[in-house]
Amino acid sequence: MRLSVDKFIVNQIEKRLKRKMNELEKHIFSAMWSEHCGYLHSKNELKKFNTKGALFPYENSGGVKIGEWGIFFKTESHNHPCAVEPYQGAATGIGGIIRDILALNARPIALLNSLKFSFSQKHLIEGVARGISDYGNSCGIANVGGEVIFDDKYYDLPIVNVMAVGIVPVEKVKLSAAKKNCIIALLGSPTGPDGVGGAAFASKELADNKSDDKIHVQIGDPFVKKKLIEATLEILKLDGVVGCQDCGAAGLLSSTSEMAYKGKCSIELDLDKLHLSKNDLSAAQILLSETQERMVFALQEEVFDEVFNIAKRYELEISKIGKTYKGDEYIIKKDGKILSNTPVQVICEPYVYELCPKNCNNKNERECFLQTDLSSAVNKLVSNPEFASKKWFFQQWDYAVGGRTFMPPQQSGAAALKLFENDYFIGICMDSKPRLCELDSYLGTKSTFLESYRNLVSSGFEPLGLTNCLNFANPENNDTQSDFVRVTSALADISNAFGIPVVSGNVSFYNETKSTKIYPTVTVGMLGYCKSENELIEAVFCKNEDVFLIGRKINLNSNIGGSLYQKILFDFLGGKLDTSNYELEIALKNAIFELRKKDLLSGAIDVSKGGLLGSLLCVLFNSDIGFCGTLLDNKNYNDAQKLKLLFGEIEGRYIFSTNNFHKTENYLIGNNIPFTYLGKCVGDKIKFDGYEFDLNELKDKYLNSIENVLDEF
Amino acid sequence: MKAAVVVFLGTNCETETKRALEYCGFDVNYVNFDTKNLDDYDAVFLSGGFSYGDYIRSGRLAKFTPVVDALKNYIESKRGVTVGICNGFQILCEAHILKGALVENDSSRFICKNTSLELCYKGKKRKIILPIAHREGKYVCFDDINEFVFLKYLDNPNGSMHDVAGLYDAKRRVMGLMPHPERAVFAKNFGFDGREFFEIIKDEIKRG
Amino acid sequence: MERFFAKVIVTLKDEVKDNRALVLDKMLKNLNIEDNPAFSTGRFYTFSLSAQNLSDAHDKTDFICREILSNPVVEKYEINSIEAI
Repeated sequence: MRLSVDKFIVNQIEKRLKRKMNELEKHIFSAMWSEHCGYLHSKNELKKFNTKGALFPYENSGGVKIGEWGIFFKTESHNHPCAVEPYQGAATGIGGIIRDILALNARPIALLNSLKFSFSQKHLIEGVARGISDYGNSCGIANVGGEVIFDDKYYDLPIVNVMAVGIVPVEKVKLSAAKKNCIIALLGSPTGPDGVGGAAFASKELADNKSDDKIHVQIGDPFVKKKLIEATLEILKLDGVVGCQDCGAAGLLSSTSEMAYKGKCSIELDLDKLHLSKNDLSAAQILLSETQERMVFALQEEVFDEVFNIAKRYELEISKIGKTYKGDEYIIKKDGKILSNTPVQVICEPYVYELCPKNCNNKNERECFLQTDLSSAVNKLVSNPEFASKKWFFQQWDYAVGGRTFMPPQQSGAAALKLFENDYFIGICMDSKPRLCELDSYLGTKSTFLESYRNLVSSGFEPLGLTNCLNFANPENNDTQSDFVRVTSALADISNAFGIPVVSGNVSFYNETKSTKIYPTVTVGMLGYCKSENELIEAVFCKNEDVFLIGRKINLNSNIGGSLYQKILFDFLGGKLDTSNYELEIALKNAIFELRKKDLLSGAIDVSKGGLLGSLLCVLFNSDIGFCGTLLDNKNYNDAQKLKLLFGEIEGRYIFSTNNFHKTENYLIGNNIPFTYLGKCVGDKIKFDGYEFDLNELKDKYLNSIENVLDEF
Repeated sequence: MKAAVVVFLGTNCETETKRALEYCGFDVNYVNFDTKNLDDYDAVFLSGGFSYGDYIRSGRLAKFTPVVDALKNYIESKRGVTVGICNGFQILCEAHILKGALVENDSSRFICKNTSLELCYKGKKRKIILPIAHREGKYVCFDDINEFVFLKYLDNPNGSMHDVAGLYDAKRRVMGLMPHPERAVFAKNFGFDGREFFEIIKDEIKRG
Repeated sequence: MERFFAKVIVTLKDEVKDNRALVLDKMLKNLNIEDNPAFSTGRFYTFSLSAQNLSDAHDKTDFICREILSNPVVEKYEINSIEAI
């Protein structure tokens, strides 16, 4: 096993231990003081986040309260494993995030995925898509939505962020802290040598020769996971169950030490008591194994028999592996001997770096004046994999299992699920804008937040809370540090401004190879609610309805840096980003909700990828209807200007349809909402400003261009 | 009417099946895979999921459980109607209670979407829409089963022979289908045609 | 009782389309490796069993293949080898 602790850190550890580490302790600290487990480079920055209104933001997962129910959600990254073994990497990524939710006694009800690939790496795309499909579908948790982005920056560095959502009555939430005088039990798959060193693996740059890295990858078993979910939820109902932790990165070591740390007690583990899949494992291997499908419980002795019987009924193995008592020690025993005795605080309070990056400002602020004629631009855009429909992905994932799904993926900006427990609906979405963050990590992050916000609003949901996954390159690098600080500040600022708390999150560093590194990739997962099915809004327009744009008007001076059309048409990345306006965003949200209440709004979409025309096309394809109208305010623009006005991406815009033009117009005027009338949904042609496209021809490209490439060899 | 929803290890559509059945007026109990008697129930539903992880083949391992023996007695004694949905259909085929077998879709991929179907009941044909969600849903059978088919794909998504999406056994007391009627009961986007299917089941129970 | 070690292969019957095989055929052809590889795919199992003698072991293996590992409606199986251990 490779140890990855540098000298400086070793000194820090031994200073706090007041002695040298032994062999086993070197393994313990190389995992617990790794970036992956210890958040060495991020912990200080993450303190900035606004958690006001969040439920248990410092647990395995945080949540929000809807009625008397806690809705817990969190994202996790599985980038490194997916780079070397996409199928298992994606599968166990789902497995891991499910356990985080489960540990709180919340039943997992939904998954979302935010994926980034280079489109040329079909084996990664195929492997990840199938891993999610086989694992998620089998454990019966609906994959309700998410996003897929393609960019060659992710060549060999796929980003696989997955979000899980779970539900539990607030008073039934179980926390991870142990208490003194408990026994510690391990439930689930027998511990084996798989995934040993995974945490340390995720805390370094990828080697160029990947076969080397494969041993660190864990193997998932969705059938055992399904049983583990049901058994855990039954066990957590019992009174004598004190705490619960999932066994994820750094396996048993991390879960048990956290339980002791949070519970302010000592813990003693006897490694001879574990059920193992292989007998000759060393203490370090047992402690650090990342064997999937395991949960750790702190129990009062009296309930163990009951817990044992539940495990037996689900055909799962369980063992009593240790106990807790008053104190602050972490003790490992094997073969009757004490192999290590360290203070819990030293294990769980690793050295934390202060990031003080020097300013770096060599971003490309140049505007794009390249041009091409609009017809070919439209055709290129709709058949580009990033813009095109992601149905190839979503159809492979069971988005309806559980019977809660009310909106299939891509039907609106957010997935909609019914909470049959209290008749509320929740909306969930997951978004990222890595190219914008590359240009300006501060504004790009705000824009990502607003993308999620508008996705919820355009689907009828009041946003309540957010989770995030921050994917970056090597944090020792000044540019990366600088972006990381700006990203966390932006997220803190905007979540404060909107009063939407950050409930949970995850950081993944070292997403780089020797030759390339990823864009600062900020994934936001946001959750909102509404009270009835009538409040849900689809991104679908109906025949003969009138289409309005509300919000900002784009003009030739607008800042549209990072717009997708520039990347697709000219492979150009540059420009300044638009800034957001809090008052306008709130006014637009209120307008959409009120118009919906008055039955004046039948379908809506936020204006994002592909700008005004891109978003309009998406709705028309969804709705299978043509359009006739005016999108430009005069005819004398040149091609580059037309591209900017039609495809340029700025903040603060929605389009919606209505069946009552006059009442709608009166409402918008009366409430001072900036708007533009765009046209009418009619026929099977898309006509505007002298251009005409055939709906079915474009739609066919939009729906099938990904499939056509990925299903070919 | 009393209905049982059988839960094997790995079954994952039991909640929505129960919820849908209750909405349609059934009195529903879950029964475990170790249940030995089903005579209390007017209908027995084997719901969707991945029983025993679908290891070896979909539905293969479930057939060795006590509840499937109980089900055979239940069918033999003509007590009530048996319905297998998705994984339940696979289990019924693997246990040779229904003819044919379900193999991997032509695309080799899991397919989750709404499909158009032709429902034939009491000599009447009607177009309905139900969601499907399976990877091993291609129906294969080398016998003549045409007269027992009650549900056909209009736009065959998985390569099923003769477009078969659902069929009866020879005595017309057992029904198996790949689409998920229980997912088409509550949400507009998935349609409400599932309700009609469950009305048919009630009809079948009354027919005796 | 003696102990035996069995190796068996389960494949789709000839009349059932083997999708994975067709995909592999197409791939090899497109990669200009082989024009007509005529793949067939299946599942390979090994297991140990107790039996009186080889013939008994054979019967038991046959039973396991027929009843547990394959579905005779769409699959066939082949006992690759049974050896005493």
